[in-house]
Amino acid sequence: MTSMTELAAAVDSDDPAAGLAAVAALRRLTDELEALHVSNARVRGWTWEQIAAALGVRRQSVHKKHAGRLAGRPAGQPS
Amino acid sequence: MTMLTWFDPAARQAVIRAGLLAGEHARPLLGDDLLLLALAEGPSLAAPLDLSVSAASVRAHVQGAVPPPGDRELLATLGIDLDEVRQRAAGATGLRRDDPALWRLHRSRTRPLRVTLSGPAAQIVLAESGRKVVEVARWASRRGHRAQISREDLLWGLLADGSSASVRILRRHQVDIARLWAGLQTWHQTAS
Repeated sequence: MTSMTELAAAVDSDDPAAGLAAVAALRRLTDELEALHVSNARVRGWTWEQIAAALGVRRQSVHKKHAGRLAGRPAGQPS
Repeated sequence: MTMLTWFDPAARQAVIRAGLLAGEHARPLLGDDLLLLALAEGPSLAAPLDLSVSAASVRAHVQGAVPPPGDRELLATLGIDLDEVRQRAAGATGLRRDDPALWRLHRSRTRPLRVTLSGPAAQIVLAESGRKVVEVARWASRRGHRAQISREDLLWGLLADGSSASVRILRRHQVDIARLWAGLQTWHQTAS
């Protein structure tokens, strides 16, 4: 595995690859956290409208992104 | 309905783990080698089955000679402790990213050969080799009149294709495939 020192050096360099890889990792983490919190909200009975408002996106967007994965588990019902 | 209901809890966890590994290794598709790694990382198989290879050895083959930096290392360069964030999120939501309730395995209605595993921040299509493992494992569990696919059935799926990446990995580690097959047959007869 690449050492932290090597990584830090890579980020300090002008190589865009290292910085972009870190941004991609950050995006994956954000998506992961969003999925967990959306699932939690649905378990607590939140509507897609409420979730969309909290995320600052359109209802259709959040529904399209998460509803399929959560299909079969009605809102308010813990899995 | 998700195809994950076909699997017993331990096998379900192995499939989900394979999906997470695909993300960690930046794989575009979920292949049989990742299913082997997930199986090797998990608890021991039922007696008399023994994979005879460590998860670390399988991982070395899966990630190649020069493994790319993982998300943990990349995020650390931004000052983010991935484990700390995940721990806090799990504490706040009561959910973990490998919670089976958050995952779904489904076959496309219009493209029946396309099977996708989706979960928190993960959506990965099964490679042909991965799909074959699942299909053979299901066949094996039905043949044994077992209600759900077990980890041992997944092993059946992994061994079914002698030219697969997972069998090649096992052979490289001098795993006696014939002995594994014999153990699988013995297990199959007792578990049926």
